[in-house]
Amino acid sequence: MARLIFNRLISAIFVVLGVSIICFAILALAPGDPTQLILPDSAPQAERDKLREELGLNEPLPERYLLYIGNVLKGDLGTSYTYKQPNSELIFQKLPHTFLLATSAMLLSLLIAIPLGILAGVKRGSLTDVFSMFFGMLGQSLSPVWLGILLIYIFSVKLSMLPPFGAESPLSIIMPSITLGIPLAALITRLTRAGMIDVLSEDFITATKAKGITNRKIVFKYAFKNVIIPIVTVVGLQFAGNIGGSIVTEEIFAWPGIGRLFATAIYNRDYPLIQSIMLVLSTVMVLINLSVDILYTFIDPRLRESRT
Amino acid sequence: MKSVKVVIWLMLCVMVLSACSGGGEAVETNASDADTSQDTASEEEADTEEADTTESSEPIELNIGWSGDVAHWDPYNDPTVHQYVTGYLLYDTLIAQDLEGNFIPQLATEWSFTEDFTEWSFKLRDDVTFSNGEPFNAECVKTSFDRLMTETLAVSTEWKELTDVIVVGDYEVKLIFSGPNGGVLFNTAMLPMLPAQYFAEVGVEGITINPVGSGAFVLSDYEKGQKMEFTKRQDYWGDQSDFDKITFYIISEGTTRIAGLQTGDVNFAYSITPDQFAVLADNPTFAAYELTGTMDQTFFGVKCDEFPFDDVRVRTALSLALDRQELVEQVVGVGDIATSCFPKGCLGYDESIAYPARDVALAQQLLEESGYNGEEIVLICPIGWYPKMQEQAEAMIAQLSEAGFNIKLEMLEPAGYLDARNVTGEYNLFFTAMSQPQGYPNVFLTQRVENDANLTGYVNEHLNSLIAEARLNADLDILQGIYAEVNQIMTEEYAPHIWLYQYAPLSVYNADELVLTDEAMIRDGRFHFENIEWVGGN
Repeated sequence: MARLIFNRLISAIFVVLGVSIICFAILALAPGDPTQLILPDSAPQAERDKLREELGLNEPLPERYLLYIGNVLKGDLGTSYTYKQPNSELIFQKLPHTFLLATSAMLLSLLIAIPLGILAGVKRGSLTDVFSMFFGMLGQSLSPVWLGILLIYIFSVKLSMLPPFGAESPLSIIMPSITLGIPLAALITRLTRAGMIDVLSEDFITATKAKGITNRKIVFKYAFKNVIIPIVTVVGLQFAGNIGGSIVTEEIFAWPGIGRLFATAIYNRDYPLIQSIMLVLSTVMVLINLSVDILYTFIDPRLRESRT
Repeated sequence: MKSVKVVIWLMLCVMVLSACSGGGEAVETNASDADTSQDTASEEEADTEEADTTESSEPIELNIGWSGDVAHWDPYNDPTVHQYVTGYLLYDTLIAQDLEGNFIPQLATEWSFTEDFTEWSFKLRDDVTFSNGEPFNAECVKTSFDRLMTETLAVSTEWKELTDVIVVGDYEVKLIFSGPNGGVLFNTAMLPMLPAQYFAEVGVEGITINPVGSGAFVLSDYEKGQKMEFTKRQDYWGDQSDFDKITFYIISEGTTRIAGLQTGDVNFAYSITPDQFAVLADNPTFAAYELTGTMDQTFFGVKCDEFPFDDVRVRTALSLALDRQELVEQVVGVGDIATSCFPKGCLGYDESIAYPARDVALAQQLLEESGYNGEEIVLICPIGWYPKMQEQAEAMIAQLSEAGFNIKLEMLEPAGYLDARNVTGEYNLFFTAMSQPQGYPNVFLTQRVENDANLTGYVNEHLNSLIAEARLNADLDILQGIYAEVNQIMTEEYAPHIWLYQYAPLSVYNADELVLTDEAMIRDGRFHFENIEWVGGN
């Protein structure tokens, strides 16, 4: 196990470095000059040139990159062109909110999807199964914009149960979690259902039934354990994706997450902030993937030997 | 297993029943959620009692659903409208303008200037303190103006001729310019004054995070991207606002701002589209305010040094083929058509100067005469800057195609758009809007016409001489005459811009609690939120 973690951490460093180089290169090649967005149109060219000099934009690309990475290793993620604040402050103010949202959405989706998927797989052809297929299709087709606005209309405007925006109340997390969680729940439901149907048709299940083991035990102790691995994979990937990609949900609910910050940084060509967010997000994603890999070895001990 | 099924079905039933319940009525405003620092004004007891004229027990709050955040709190270096509007709460300027454009005292009590406009003197109030207790005096003015000379700032371009600031006495300063500058009063009316001692202690970094001003409010709470909360100063030198607290909730989605209004979490929702307002139109609790006094006009920038717009007949045809009225009524939904280059209320506006009415047949004739045969014209538009940008562009392209124009639309994200417009000049037409703050078009004309910052290639020496002449004058009547002539030339030349419509953002507010009067408006159509009247209970 220790060797697994060590090996993965070493490769994680290379992954994160690779992401930072690619991100840096793409930003350098993308059209757009930050000074056009920092200074008004009325600023003369001499001022723009001076600002470019101050921001180090005239230095050669490799030099700029090495300077940036050198500072990162010292714990300095640079300063935002737009906000004039250290990027680390901006990012770590927002990241916990995004983590909270992604985690809530994930837990909600598992709470819905696992029981529903198991039921649908066990009671194939029943009303529950039909509903789960309908839910699986609908949930993945729903636009988060539409769903979010509908939830606000129902639960805030009509029922006055939940706050329509912000993160000041503990209740504020509910609707954004549903908005983000429903598509994930739909995906996991379909995955769980399909997995259960496959596993329940296996010979060893027939054998356990023949031994007189109860249905409940067959489902949860024997069948479901074989379905968990793909679920964990999907949940891990989606969770990592939600960390950086929940911008739409955050915009609708004015949720103070990193998605909005990221979108604004790209909009403003705020190079240091974009690079720092990418660095942090890629690190988070790598750590999530590592956690998923470790989780595999607990779920299926056979994997411990093969992975180390 | 059965219990799980029951729970799932129950949840579904609740959602379906709720969705099917009767609509069309606004929900009574309720106390907002569990944030104890926020007391909405529409508590139940306020509905039946008159406002208590003695000390109220509940703070009176203005909660605004606002569309965006400041970049930071340095008023000299954040050119966004968010900074502009919130700056009025935090800071004062030396002078201000009333709705007619006349200059009125604020922190300065009187002012004078030399005949050649190179020296400007201001006498200051002696009864003003900043929110940290520091007194306002001539040193504060010097500190403020010195920044313009020593730093590269967003506002620096209007002050590039400033060479010195002399402290004549504790409450008198003199500004020295290297050349004539007729726009000093206009620009001064938009420059907040900073506290000298505080700035010396904390520097730019300090005021970027913790602003201190002499205005009627202090920034009491700020959560980046979430809310900006301002609390009234009891020791403010000027008129007190009705509100004890003004909070801007940053909600970029307009539908959510409307929802916040319906739930009572906000009592003012800024920048709502007409179709969003339609949800509330039948509810007498809510009223819409169309900011018709804005100096925002949208326009096409025209590449005048390349085919086909190097020919005035083609530029004329473009304007003749546009149906501005249809654009405003059917697509944008608010505002008014642009009749010429300057909006009503701006210096240079003259109702006798106007674009001719739409005439597609004449446009076709002019295109034929010019030799334009349907060659592709590239129109660049920015994504995310203006509401319904794609719809607007498509509507205009459809109108123009009736006359024979062949236009290719390129929707570009902002950085790419600015690159094409200001750096490479790779366009035939670009769409944008311009505000003339305080109704003084000098900055716009100097940069976009005289200096051609958008690379239109249009050169008119007589026009440039008029623009330069205007900079030498501070008299409003003389400026009106000069700018009217500028307006005439640019309107007749259809260059370097063809103006489309005057934008009037719609705001919606709770009419049971708020009254908007002229006092709440800034001359260029923005809001003095602190001057909105409170008529709700307490």
